[in-house]
Amino acid sequence: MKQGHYCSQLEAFHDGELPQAERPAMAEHVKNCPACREELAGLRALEGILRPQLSQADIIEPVMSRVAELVSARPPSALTILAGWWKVPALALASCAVYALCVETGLLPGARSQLVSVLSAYNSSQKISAMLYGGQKAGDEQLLALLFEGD
Amino acid sequence: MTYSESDDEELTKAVLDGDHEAFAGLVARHQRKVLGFCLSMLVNPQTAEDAAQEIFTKAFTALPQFRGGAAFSTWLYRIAYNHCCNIRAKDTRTRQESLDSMAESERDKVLSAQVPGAEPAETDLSAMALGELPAEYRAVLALRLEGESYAAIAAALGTSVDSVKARLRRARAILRIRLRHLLPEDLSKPTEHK
Repeated sequence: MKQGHYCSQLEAFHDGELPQAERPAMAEHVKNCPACREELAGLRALEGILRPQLSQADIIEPVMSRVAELVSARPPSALTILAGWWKVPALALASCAVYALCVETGLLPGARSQLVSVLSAYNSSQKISAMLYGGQKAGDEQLLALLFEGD
Repeated sequence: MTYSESDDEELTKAVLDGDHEAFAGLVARHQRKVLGFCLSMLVNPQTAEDAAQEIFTKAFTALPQFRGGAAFSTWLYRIAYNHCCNIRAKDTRTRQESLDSMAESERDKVLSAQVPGAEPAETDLSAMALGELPAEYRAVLALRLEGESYAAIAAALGTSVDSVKARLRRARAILRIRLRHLLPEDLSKPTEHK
């Protein structure tokens, strides 16, 4: 290979970009070519000067606290919302169970007693209506009197 | 398995699956290179550290868009390059605005200001020389100083390998002239082959 080829490949050699197969020949050339040796030394010296002088800065903690802020500020995704779908029927079932327990223990009136009170309320209203608008029976007069007295 | 043993792909997948703490592993793996790149691009160490933190935060936010077609580091460098360019552009604008608002005599004083007896350190000079290069030359050189290959640099900056080689050669030639006082006398000029 011609000398000019080696000289033009010097930067690639310095940067480790030369194919593995060409490196030994290039190294041999540099040994025997003063101009390339000088150029290579110049490249190395420049890199030494330019290399950034890093302090032992560790930015994991500040970055992760920023990440935590981002995560807490994010609205929940649709997937997160769907992931809790089971909570709705579970809450409904639990409510039913509590209601049944309260009815059984007598804390709340049962369905039967509620039906009785609804029916009796309906009957009373029917009676009052009949008394007011006609068709009243003998016993209903007493109830009408009570109503007008404000009892 | 610790984060340092996991590779980028595993860590990225873990973060996307909701394990946000896995992102610490990615930061640990890449912080040194990103800090070095930012320092080469921005010169000021404090600005570089702040920028590196912002770059990782941006990367976390944009991670769902990372397709995995390129290496994570290439994708991260692309964010870093854009971020550093934005900072420099903003900084230039701010400086220009503050100079414009000054009286002419005051402006001359600021521009020619030098601390008496204070010689800039070698590292300051090299950082200043690097900082004066056009952004695309500086970025190529900064990535090369972090040990990235021509192909990785080209991918990170969205350019061709030939363009990377040309910019690198040009940047080195400029710096060897500007930093000739810091280099041994016989190495300060690019050698001309006969």
